[in-house]
Amino acid sequence: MIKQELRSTIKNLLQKYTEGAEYHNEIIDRAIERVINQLYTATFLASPLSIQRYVKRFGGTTAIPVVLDAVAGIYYSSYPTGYSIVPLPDKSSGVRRVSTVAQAGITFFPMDQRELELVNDSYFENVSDKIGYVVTQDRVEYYGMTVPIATAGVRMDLLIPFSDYGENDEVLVPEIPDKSNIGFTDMVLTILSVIQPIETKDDNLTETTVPQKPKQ
Amino acid sequence: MATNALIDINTIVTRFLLKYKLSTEDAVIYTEHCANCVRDFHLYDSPNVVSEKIAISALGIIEMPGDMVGFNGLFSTTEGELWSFTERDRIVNTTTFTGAVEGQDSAFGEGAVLNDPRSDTYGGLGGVNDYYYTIDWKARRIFCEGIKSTTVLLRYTTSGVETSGVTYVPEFITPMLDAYMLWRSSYWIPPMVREREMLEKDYTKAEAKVRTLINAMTADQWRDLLLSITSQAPIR
Repeated sequence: MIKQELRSTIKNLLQKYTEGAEYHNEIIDRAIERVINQLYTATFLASPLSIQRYVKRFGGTTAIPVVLDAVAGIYYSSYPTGYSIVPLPDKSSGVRRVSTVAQAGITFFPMDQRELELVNDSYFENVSDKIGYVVTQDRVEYYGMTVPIATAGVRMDLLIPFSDYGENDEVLVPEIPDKSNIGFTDMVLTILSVIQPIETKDDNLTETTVPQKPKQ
Repeated sequence: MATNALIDINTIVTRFLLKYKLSTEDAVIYTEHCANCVRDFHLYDSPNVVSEKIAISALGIIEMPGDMVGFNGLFSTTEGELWSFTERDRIVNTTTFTGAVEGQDSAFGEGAVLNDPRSDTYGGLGGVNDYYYTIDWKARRIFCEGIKSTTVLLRYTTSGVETSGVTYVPEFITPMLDAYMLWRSSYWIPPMVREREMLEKDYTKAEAKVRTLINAMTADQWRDLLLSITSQAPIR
């Protein structure tokens, strides 16, 4: 389902209020995002490898640039403009895969900052031709980056939040129920059920009218 | 043509991740452990020693190669065959500096020729070697006696892990390396802790299998061995 369809589905399932009082898209999007993030984590904890199915690929048409931070002496890539990641509790976090532009086997291994500092003079440094990548809040830093790969740029599979998707982007939602056997839609509606819609009618009223129950 | 007989460590690790359905999460750590196992293989199991032509200085000293972790033998050559040196622990293994120049103080026995008691009359048995050596691991030097200023052949074991270039190992030891990595993962993956003993046994079994294969003799080797110790006899 594309992003706007997903939002529309939720919107139409919400309780109807009087004309002019409705849920803002931003409120619905944040509720959806919160639930999807929760489902991503649940999916990851159940099977770390399966989270790959929910990523969005970047750098396919134009490679993501790899830049040298001359002061720190490290290569890095910033996340594509306008995108952030959903953090997960492992080293890859929301950067599930980094690859060279030419897809030829695995070249990048995730590392954490601790490993990055400890790996100097290790066997790994001597025997491995793999490039380590460390996921930080605003960029991906590389260990052992080579000039040819840096010049060509990289591709990335990112787990991005719902709000970063374009209106017509396909959004894959893990349909993994929570402990109470409640799925995605019900989880979003549960969050929104305690939030009143906002009065959007320009009639200078300060209160939202709660709809009357239909008479039996 | 079949697959290559040699495989590099990177490929071993990536195949390991594939075979055991593991993510790349701990790939760096697995690579480190895999290299440790390769080192152990070279130290304890592998017959693959390095043969290197090496110079004996004018003082009769060999400087050990940087990657030498175990000594396997020191040889000169004679008629196309190797002649081994004999270990003699009591060779004086010090030198004396005069300014910046390293030399030997004969008064202290440094570089002195060893005298072997010999008998070439009745009662003379056995033999003595012309070439002796002693190893000073701390100084990473081999002191030789009976030969100087020449080139000999040193056989030694290394960690097997190349610091420049690709590290290759025999492909048939991959089950042993896999078992090692699985066993070692029990030290940082909490659910694996209870499996540790079983995993260690798996590794020991895999290592024994490799050792058996390496040390086993071929049919021809057995035949040669038997023929070398039997006498020809008339067959009727």
